[in-house]
Amino acid sequence: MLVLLVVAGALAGCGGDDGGSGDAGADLSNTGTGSDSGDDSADGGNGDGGGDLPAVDDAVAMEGDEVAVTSLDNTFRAPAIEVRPGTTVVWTNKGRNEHDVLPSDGDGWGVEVEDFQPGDVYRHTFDEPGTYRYYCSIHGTTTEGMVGAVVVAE
Amino acid sequence: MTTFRRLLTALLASVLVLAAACGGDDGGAGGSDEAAGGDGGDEATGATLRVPDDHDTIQAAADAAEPGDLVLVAPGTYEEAVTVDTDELTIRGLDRNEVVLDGGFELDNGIRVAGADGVAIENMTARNYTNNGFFWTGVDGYRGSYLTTYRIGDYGVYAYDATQGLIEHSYASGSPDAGFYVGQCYPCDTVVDDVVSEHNGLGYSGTNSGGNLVIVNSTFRNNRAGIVPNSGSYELCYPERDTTIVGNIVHSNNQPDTPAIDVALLAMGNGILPAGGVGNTIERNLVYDHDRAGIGLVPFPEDDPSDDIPPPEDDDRPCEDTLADTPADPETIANPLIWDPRDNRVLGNVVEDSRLADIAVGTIGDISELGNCFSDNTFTTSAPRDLEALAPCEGEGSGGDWEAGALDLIALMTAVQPPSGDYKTSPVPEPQDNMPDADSAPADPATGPPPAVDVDAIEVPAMPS
Repeated sequence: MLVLLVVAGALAGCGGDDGGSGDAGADLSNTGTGSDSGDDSADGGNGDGGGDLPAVDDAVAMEGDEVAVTSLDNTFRAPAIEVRPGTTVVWTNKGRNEHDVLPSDGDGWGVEVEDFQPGDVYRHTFDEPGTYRYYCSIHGTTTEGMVGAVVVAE
Repeated sequence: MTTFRRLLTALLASVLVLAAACGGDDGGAGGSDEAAGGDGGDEATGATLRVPDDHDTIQAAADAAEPGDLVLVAPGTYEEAVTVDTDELTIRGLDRNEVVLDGGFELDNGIRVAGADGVAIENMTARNYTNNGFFWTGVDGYRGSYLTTYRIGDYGVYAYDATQGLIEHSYASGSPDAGFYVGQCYPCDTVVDDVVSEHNGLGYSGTNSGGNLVIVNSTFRNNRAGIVPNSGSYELCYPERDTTIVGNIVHSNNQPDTPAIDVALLAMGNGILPAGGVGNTIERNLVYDHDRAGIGLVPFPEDDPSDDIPPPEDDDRPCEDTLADTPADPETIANPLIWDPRDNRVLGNVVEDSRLADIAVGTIGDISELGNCFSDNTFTTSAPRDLEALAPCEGEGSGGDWEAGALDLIALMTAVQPPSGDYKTSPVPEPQDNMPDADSAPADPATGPPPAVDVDAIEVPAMPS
């Protein structure tokens, strides 16, 4: 019956946006079947909008050169994280559904749906301080639903 | 949506009500007609925005509309993916079969309601979308009535993190996951009533949903599997629990050529199959013609889980209270993680012509301790063999042999099933019944809870002719 079901799970969240300060002169690299690399620029974002935007004041502080965000169906876990400059954030799609990770403002990072199927991994290194909001365009908008944020501290 | 936006929306709605009461105008950008209010205390007072007369696209009308407005869509094919973020809209097609949203196998969702409470979608068709036909998420209050979906890449009608919903008089086919889905809500306070789901991977799927979630008076046929509530940590608010499944016709869910995700392949050949479900009530359904079990309570083995199974004392925790929980250390979680079915009640169903067992329960460990019960069903075969005597819903069990005639889960899980068909070529449905008075009925946003269902009054359905 449902045995042998392999369900990938991960935390991650799509994040809402709004503008922001700071460019992320970040490396974009991938593992597994994650997206191909993009360029190095990304706009950060500050402030809160409406909707389901994760509260960046409550961002989970994460230590280490690499930190993990899991993309569940249809939530990013933890929805908001705080990291140091130079940290590589690793999103893993541990849901049963396909997702994407798109910056709510600007471009230069993120992974499209074809490269973020269940089990896929996407990495991005954030070098510049700022608030980087993102979202899953299938299961959210920039402000509602599957949204997330990476806060890169000064 | 934020408290601020809710307050703003409520204030705006109040202003509209006052304006109408004073004979004011209809408000609403681009509106041409004033719509009469709905019935009772949920009276809507908005304008009618016609597509394409007033706005070229459904999206443009939805963007221009104000809470309480009616977006009325004329027959035509609309190649768009609509996102709705305004509360309490009613979006209605004038003809269910001729108002067609078409994704061309490139667009993701037909209509997606994201964070907008009380939006009702009525009397139209969505086809050829890569993800979902009609989709509500992050809302309190929603309704889908007289909807048709087919050839959809994930789910036909999809409600996720949505409460106080009503899905009724609708049809879904040709989705590899589920025709109808209600997930990640507790309590859901949602009713699924009078729907038909066929030629899907799963007729119904509900992951981690429940709590006043009622599925009644509906037909699930010719899918890979029929009604499959399920638990897993790949969505929040686990486990699935307290879903009421009453008065449905569930038959012939062995269809070998449907589109199907992996879960649907594994669940194939079963009628009602709570997988790792907890505290569900399955009562007075008519279930027949299944290659495996008519009604089966089975475990859900989750590989690479994201969290551990909460203790039973957490069963009543509302979903929203659990969202910020810190997941368990991955090193401490079993892999695969076995979500056992427990405390389910299977009562008064009529189940026949199941090639493996009409009623069944199975798990990897000791199934006698899981608290599931079976009584007053009309059936011929069960697994274990004396299931109703072993696990009655009233009184003590017989203390007999749970191993006699038990399910062979290993054989079931290793069986090879026909591969998924292509959702893009699944059957085109026959025309479906239209909503009455679509051209004249007032706007009817989905404010408040869905109507109560008198579950006790529902009888076992008659066998279709």
